[in-house]
Amino acid sequence: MEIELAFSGWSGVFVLALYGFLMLAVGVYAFLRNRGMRESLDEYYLGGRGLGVMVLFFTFFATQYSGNTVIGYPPTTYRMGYQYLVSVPFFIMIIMVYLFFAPRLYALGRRFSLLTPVDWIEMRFRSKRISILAAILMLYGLGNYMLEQFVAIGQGVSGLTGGTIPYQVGVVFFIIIMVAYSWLGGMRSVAWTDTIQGLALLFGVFTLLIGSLYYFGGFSAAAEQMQLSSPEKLNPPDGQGLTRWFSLLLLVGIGAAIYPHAVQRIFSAKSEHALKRSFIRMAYMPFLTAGVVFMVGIIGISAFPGLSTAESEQLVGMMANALANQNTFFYWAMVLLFGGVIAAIVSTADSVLLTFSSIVSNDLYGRYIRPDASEHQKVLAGKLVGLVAVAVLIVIAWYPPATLYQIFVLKFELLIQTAPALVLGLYWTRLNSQSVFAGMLAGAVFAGVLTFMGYRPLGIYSGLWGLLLNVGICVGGTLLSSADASAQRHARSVIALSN
Amino acid sequence: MTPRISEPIRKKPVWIGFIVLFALINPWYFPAGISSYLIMGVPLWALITLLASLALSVFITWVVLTQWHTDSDEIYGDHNKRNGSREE
Repeated sequence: MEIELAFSGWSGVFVLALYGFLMLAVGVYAFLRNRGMRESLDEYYLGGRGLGVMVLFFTFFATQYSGNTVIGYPPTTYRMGYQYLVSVPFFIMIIMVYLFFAPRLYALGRRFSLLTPVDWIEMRFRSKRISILAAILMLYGLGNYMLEQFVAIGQGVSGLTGGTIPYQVGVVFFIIIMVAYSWLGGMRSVAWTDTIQGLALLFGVFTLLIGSLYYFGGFSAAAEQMQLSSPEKLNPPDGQGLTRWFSLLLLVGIGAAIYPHAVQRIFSAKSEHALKRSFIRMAYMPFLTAGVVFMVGIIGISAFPGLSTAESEQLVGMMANALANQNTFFYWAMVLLFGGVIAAIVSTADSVLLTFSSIVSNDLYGRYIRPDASEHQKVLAGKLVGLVAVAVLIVIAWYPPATLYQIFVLKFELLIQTAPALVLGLYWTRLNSQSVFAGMLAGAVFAGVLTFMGYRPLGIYSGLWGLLLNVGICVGGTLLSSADASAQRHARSVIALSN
Repeated sequence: MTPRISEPIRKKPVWIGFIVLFALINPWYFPAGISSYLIMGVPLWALITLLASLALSVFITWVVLTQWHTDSDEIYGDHNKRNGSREE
């Protein structure tokens, strides 16, 4: 997915350096404003539970929409035509899924000062094996998610600068910046940089759309091209296409809503009011982000007809290149667009890293290894383990393994298996912990095996099959034998909304 | 005063609305040949699906504003004023 932009070169280097400097400045500002922050888990990982509407909204936004939305979605639209319109509603589904658990989880997060999703699972089930399995699944999924972002940073940077900055230098430069501002300001600097990164991304995609409409023609030209060469791109999906549409809505909706870094953002809201306002805004963002890049992909069909699959991966680069040649305004707008893409990738990676560290700090080190450690020591442990993980991932990103490639692909498939514990646990007091553990383990193994085999029964994604098995075991096991009376009493006491 | 607690998941209209809108954002209900209807170059079915998606966003807004209310803001107020210590 490497994008070559011959037009950029040193102006690209300039924008990236400026952007790196800005991020660092935000980190230093957050550090100076909140000096005691590193002493407390709440302060470091949740910004003191003080994120207001705007910052909360942008941190949800920048975490959810990565550089891949801008670089990867238009080529897919190019190949699938209107059948990829699903990319708009699946982002709305995420907010819909939130509404099934976020209201209660937020209230309980405030009541018990919950820090991570595993924190909630531990409080609800009081089971070491469930908590540790959930933490491992989350760390594994988050690690792979970070790896994917690192590879994308390297490719984006070398593409943007026309190879002036090599892949490896790009990865290391941005990771150092990212780790530095995360360490300096924790969640505050991550959320504040997310705001800048989100704005850069929005500016970039809108300029790309306006430029494309102006220079390449609108939807009628694209429709004529499709009618001539590939009329199926104008059809609604049927059969397999419809199953794919349906399963994408479910997989993305459930998977992205229960991403650990997404759940953690619920805990960091300043108030229920702020969380509600952010969700309402997020409900409309798919039209302004996924919808806009979808339109760019459709316009690409008439702008660059007849591309092969591999060539179409370069679509955004080709369109940006063509626009940049038009005039100075578009030249700089396109340089900024790619800066925005890198920003979007970094802003997703930083959130993932912070959540990764928080699970290590709180759920492994703080709960099982050294429960008597001070909060400062716990934060430090999370930071250091996060740094080691980043170093290992850089090596993997540098020398991608030729075999066992799928080990690094599993993300959604594993993360989604924590959903029954997280969500069913919020409402069902009879849910027994043995079934939750068995379901989570069986779902993860099943989804993993299906992924390795490359098998997708009925066209439905392996993560959903794993989830189906997982929920089946949780519900079936609990119906056969409910949790005992004391476990049910405990469950009632922790899920009650009012004291 | 005990504030009234309301959760979307416990409301029947919320479930009905989400199920109906979920059905509408899956484009299974269009007759064959629908793709020849274009409005300014955009297939009619795509516009209807987008409209259904917008309806889902509007419905989400309604749910958030009217069906979601817990007592946490009344009890805890602005968390900025508290430190990060655990209650339990």
